Amino acid sequence: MNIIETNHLSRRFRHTEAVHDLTFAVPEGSICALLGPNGAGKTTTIRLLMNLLEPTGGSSRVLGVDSRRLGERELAQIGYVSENQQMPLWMTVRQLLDYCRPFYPTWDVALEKKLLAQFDLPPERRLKQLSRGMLMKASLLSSLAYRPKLLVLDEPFSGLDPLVRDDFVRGVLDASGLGEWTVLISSHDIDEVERLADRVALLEAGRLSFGESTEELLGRFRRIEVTFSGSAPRDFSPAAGWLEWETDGSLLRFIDSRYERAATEQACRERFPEAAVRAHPMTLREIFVTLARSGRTQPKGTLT
Amino acid sequence: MNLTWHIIQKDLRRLNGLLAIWAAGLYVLILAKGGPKPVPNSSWYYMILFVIFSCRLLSLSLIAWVVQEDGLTEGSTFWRTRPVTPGRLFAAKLTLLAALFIFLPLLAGICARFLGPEPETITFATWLGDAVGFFICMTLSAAALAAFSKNLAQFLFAGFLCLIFGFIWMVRIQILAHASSPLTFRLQWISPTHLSELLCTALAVGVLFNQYFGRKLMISIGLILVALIVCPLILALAPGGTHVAVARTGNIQFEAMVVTKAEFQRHMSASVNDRLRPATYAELAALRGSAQPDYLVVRVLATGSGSWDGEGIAKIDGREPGYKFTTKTGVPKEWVEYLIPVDGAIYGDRKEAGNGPIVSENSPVVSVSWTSANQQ
Repeated sequence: MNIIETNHLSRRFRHTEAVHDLTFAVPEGSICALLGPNGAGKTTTIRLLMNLLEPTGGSSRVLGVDSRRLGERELAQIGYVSENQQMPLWMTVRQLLDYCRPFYPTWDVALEKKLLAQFDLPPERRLKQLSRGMLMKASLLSSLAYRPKLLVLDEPFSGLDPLVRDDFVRGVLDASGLGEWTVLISSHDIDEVERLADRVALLEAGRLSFGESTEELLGRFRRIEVTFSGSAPRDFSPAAGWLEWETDGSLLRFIDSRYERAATEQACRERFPEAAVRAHPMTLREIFVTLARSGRTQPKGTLT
Repeated sequence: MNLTWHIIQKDLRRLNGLLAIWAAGLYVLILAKGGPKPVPNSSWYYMILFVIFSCRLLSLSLIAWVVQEDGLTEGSTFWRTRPVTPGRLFAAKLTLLAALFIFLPLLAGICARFLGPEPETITFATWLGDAVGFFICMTLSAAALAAFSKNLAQFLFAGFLCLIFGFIWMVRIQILAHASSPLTFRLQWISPTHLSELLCTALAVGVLFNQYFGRKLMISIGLILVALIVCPLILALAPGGTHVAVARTGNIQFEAMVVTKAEFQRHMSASVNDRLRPATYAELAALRGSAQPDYLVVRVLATGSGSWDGEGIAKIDGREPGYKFTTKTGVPKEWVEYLIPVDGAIYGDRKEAGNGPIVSENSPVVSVSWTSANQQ
């Protein structure tokens, strides 16, 4: 079952198309990362899903309900944490929790206490007196304590120091391990997302470049090094999916975006019969940098 | 727990300090009403004016804070990502605003009315109707503007702009209406003030509904523009329709008499509740030729709702052509005195006019008739 589904979702701001014809789905129980540079349309997509913005085209469904008709019942099952969210800063942490608690039938007081201790939040301090990181943790706490079915995190790591990030990620991972929670996280911080996400989608200029599981993505990208006894050839016909090839003396390097061990070895043997071939795994960051440089956006498709 | 009440409690907790100051201001006003009436231009008088102004400004600011605490203009406000429906939020805000800024001021007004040392000049029902209309209109209009603006500064600025625009527009229309009398119209079943309050309230409710449920910015702008154009139009054009004075005299009380200058001077230095003593023919005759003019005094009080203006003629002992005077009453609801210096030539000679002998112990009789009276 898909917790989130969008169908040709679009949003235009005057002359700018922030989100264009976006179709993707997030299955239940997954941690899905929406990646992309600043201005790619990540926040707009999340705001459309949360009914904070009206789409100019297409539709989206969250928890099986049209997102424009999200009601109390659905919102009681959604946790939302955003760097842009306006918090009631005059409240203390305890007042925030006291205020939120009655709205959620599933509020877990024991989990609230556990997270309060884990996040090291001072209950009697006003939110406006908290640092940015502490404020985000307070927001996360008030969004986790009722065990939401869906947790939506919009750029949660912006401006957070590494220690707070670690706390934050640990909080999300611990919480998601408690049940069949689905997490949608938007970020341009690929390193943090790599620790969290089991699915990734890349947005560029409001369009979905691709979406697939992290495992598949990491599996199909390899940095290939081919070592020749003499000089590496400057002229050869690359196989489909080979990107960014370069030579350095006897070394030829390229990135294979459709890596399969046997097929890649076979392709290399056909082109470079005398050379030694080594394949190195890549990080998510390296993959995204490669894609951004090459301008390649294949394979386009849906994240399912 | 009722979630609507839960939201109200949150708002009360948020504004408790300012609400306490505002309530203290109301209490001071009630006490002031119960005490002696302040002498105009005294420090106590200005203090009361300051408290009234501060209370009014604070109540407008509090209305804005209550509405903007859970903002409607920006997308990422806290409540919109929580299980709080617009309907529940609207109900909570409306309940709180009605309790604080309609019911409480009315209660304070009722207390002040019964505490006052003098009997009130208008009936309770009329006062209640005026007060309810005013407080509902003011509260909902302020709430509509607050729902439309992002913060207190924007709210105050928008309010100021609306007042300036409304005033200029009304003056322009009045000038046009006087130049072209067919533009004016007559309201028989409702006063122009009440009609414009009613319209303003209806449009404010429309803006609030749209801001909470529809979120179509252009609709809110349209409704506010309609209010800004039509309400001053009603106030400016409707008073142009004059009413027959006789039909309205039930809403105007008056006293008229001739007094000596000495009595007039005594009255001016006495308290506001002092009553004038009419001069007798004998007193007036004794002062004749002493370069001490007598005074024709007409005291007018509006007893109906709204304010009144009009033109009357006061005749001493029925002599023509009489003295024309214009009136403006109703705000505030208290006696307005018109003092017209006269000499003795026009009275005390009824014998010559064939009206019988003068009894020196009697006072001249002053009759007043209305040529026009307009309700505003």
